[in-house]
Parts: sequence; structure tokens; C-alpha cells
Amino acid sequence: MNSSLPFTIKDLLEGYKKKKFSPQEIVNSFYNRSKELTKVLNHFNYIRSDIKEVPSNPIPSAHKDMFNIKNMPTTASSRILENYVSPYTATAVERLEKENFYTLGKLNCDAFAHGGTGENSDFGPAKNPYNLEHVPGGSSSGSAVAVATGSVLMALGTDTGGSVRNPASYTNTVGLKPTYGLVSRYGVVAMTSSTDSIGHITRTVWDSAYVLNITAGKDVKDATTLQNPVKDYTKDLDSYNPKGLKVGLPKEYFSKDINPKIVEKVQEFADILKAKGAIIKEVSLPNTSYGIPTYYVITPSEVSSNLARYDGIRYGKDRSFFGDENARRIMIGTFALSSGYYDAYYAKAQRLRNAISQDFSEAFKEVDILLTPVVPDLPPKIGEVLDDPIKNYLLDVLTVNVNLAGLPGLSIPAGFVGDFPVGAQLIGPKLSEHLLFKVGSVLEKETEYYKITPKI
Amino acid sequence: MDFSIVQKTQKLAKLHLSSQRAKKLAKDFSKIIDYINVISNFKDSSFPNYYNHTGMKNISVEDKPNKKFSLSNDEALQNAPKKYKNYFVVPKVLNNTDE
Repeated sequence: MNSSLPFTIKDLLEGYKKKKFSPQEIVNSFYNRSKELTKVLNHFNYIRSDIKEVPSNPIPSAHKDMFNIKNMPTTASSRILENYVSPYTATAVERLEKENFYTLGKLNCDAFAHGGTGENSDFGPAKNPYNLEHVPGGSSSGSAVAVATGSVLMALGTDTGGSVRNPASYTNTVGLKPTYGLVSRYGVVAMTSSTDSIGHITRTVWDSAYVLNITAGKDVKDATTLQNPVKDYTKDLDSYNPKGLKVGLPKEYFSKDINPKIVEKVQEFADILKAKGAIIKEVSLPNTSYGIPTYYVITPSEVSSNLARYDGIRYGKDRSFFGDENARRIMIGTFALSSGYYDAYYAKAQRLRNAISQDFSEAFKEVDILLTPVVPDLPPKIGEVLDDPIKNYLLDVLTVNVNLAGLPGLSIPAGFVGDFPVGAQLIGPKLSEHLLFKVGSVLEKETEYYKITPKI
Repeated sequence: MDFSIVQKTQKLAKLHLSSQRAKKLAKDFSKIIDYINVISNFKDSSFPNYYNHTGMKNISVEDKPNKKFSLSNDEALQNAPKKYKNYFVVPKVLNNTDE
């Protein structure tokens, strides 16, 4: 890491106030760093050609290549959209750019955000900066790598089944998946409209809260958006005291299938909260194991419908350019929705979705917040799970149910197992983002794991 | 899984796969269907067969063009692989032997 560059958005804003650096200086440094690093890490799909017109006090950022940004290519990391240039800008990006976030480029991901490792990108996988032979997680692979390496200070991602939280946990960064509907999906390549959430990756919890202040809230262009109930998510992050907070540890999320070293790290977080007066309690989410099979009926069903638009007529290439994982999901969905199978698959999955959602509601009668691991194991080697779709799907076993229920989830750095970072997940009831940030902040201040960076 | 069901599904989805890819994906397809079949063990039918996150219903806007949100004709056509004057060119549908 270049230690002269600001490390977080908060640092950058304070630096501007004290006139420690000029806007052009900042943009130049991050731009050059991004260009250099992507040669090794392949985390950018596109970097803008010039950086002439920068706003005052720019915050260097880049976004998953699922977000339309006017006059930039938007490929969703798929050959189908290789030559597509966006004629308009996604709401989330538009709001950020109004607040001085300066987009340096577009970030790599699994094609159409289908995957948990980043390897399903048609433009090659992004690499984990902690070990280049391993994946950085996915599908928002490039977003996590960009923030972890200080190529930018924040990156938007999409989280449909864990695609922000999973790569955040593999890269020692903070990943937020907001409540379904809190951030507008307008202008974002659609995957599973009923679970797609617009999240972001930052280094710290405060930065994450700062970004949500800007992206959250009603948008007339997305009918599913909610009114944002919180004025300032950064408020009280430093002063919050978790005394009396009821923290649930769902026993199904600590099963024998989860790497015990990861469980240990999450347990350490529970101990920290307990020492500060929180009440730690085991809870049960009994339908947890139905999560992945339910998700892999609902998601492909919506994918088969959403990806029907790629007909090569209005834009893009023809459907033979879909990658293997895209084709698999389209087929599963087409099958699950077809005559004679609908009730056994789609309708049954919807019943299960209600049951999974009810599990959470019941748990939140007993506790305020849940603390869990994010992923079941350390990041796989590149190629290790690529040819086994089910192994790949199971990487999201601890995150998908949050999407099915529409809840917010926050992944924060929880230390290292060997070379690899490990994350912990905080899950709360709908619209409890402020509480997640406050609790996350307590853990972050105590451990300061976010200060550890990859040697690149 | 019967290969004919896989073939029918590919056709319905208009995937136009090469026979080599079709065979490979057919294998994966069967494995995934076997895996998701576990949901049949869930017997509780007291839950509804639809899901609504927010309780919202009938969100609608007035049906009139809004220039602020609309693309110009040129913008709408800028990515079209084939166009004629102000139109998209579409493949022939009737009597098309591809289908």
C-alpha cells in the first residue's frame, strides 16, 4: 500500500478540509494505482480514458460492471454485452456522483452476477490480493479487490444471494447488503428482481454508513423502493454502547460443515460484545438447510425471465454467447416454471421462502441482532470449484436466506486464518442498518482488523 | 432426467447451444435438479405460494411519457446491431425454420 494516500473516505474528507492534498492529486494517484494493479489482479473491466474534469473534493470510486453509467461500457462481464455502451446512469451512481464520488471505471464480476467466486466472468477471474492463486469471492469480485487494494475508496456491488458480503469477507473489507428496497435498483442489470439488493464495499463501517446516507431512499424510477427512515447512519457510531443488546447465534450457522477456525473468529466477536455487556443467546432458524435449494429455484426462475431480454435485437449479441453458468440458470428456471413442474418447484419454493422468512421473525422476537460467519470456508483456489456448480452454490449457504427474507446484512473483518481474511456477518430485522453499523463499529474499534492490508 | 426434457427446456429458453455444450450442460442440469428436489421434503402447506417483501401493492405511475426518464430515439438505437431508419431490425418470425 502507498501510505501517503488517504486510507478511508473519512480520512480523505478530513484531508480535503485541512487542504492536505489537491483534488487532481488524489484522482491521479488512485487512477494510476488502479491502472497498474489491474494488470495483475484483473479487477477492472474498464478504466476511463481521461481524468480531466474532476469534481471538487472527489472521492475515488468504481462500480461493479452491472451498473449503467452514461457513455461508459456496461458488460455485466458477459460477452453478450461486450460492445454495449450505456445511454443512461443508474440511480445509485447518479446519487453518488452528485456527492463528489468520482467513477474511475467498471469492475469485474461473475457474468450477470451468477457465481460466488468471480470466476464466471467472461473476461477472466479477478484475483485475491492476499494470495493471487485464490479467488476474491463473488459475484462482486472486482468491487472487493478494488477496495481491499486501495484502488478506490468505495465500490458499489449487487447482492442477490451474498454477492457483496461474500467477497468482502474474503478480502478484509466491509460489505453491506441493505434491506430489500432501501436502495434503488434502477439502471442495474437485473438478475433476481425479488432479491437483488444494491450494496457497497468500503474499508470501514463509518465509510459504509456514509455511502448509505447517499444511496438509500425512495426513487420514482424503482417502484419497490422504500422511504429511508434514518437521517444520518454515521450518527452515534463512536458513542454506541452495546450493554443489554441481545445478540443471537443461530445454531444452524455454526454447524460442523463450517470451518471451525472461522467459527472461532466469530465466537471471538461474541466474546467482545459479551464483555461489553451484551447478552449472547443461542437461537434456531430451523429451515436454514432449505435455503440453497429454495434459492436455486427462485433465482433461476427470475433469471430465466430477466435474461429473456437478451435477444440480440435492441442491443447485445445473440443468446449463444451466454456463459455456462448463465445457461444453466436459464435452463433450471425455464424448467421450474414450465407447465407440469410449476407447483412442485416454484410454488413450493415460495412457501419455503415464507417459512425461512418466518424463522427470522421468530428469532427477532428473542434477540435484536444475529451474529454469524459469512462463508463456510476460506477462499477456494482459482479453478477448484468452477466445474462443480453445487459446490459453488454452497459458498453462499450462510448468506442467501438473508436475501430470501429481504433483511439487511453487514460483513465486517473478523481477523485472519493463515494468510486469509475472515468476515463476520451481522443480520438484523428490516431497516435495522443503523443498529448493524453501530454494533459493527464497536467490533471494528476493538479489533482494528481493517488496518491490515495485502502486500501488493 | 430424460434427455428429451433437457432438450425441450433448451429449446424453450432459446439457448441455441452447440451439441457439445448441450451435452455437458444436460449433465449439470440433472445434478442440480436432483439437488433442489430436496424441497419436496417440506410438507407444510400452510404458507402461501407467493411472497411479498413489503406489503406494497398496485404501485403505478401516470401513463405518459416523461422526457427526463426517456431515451431519445438515437440513444435507444445506439446499441442496436441492425437498424433501419428509426427502427430496430428484427429477424423473420413466420416460416422461420430456425425455431
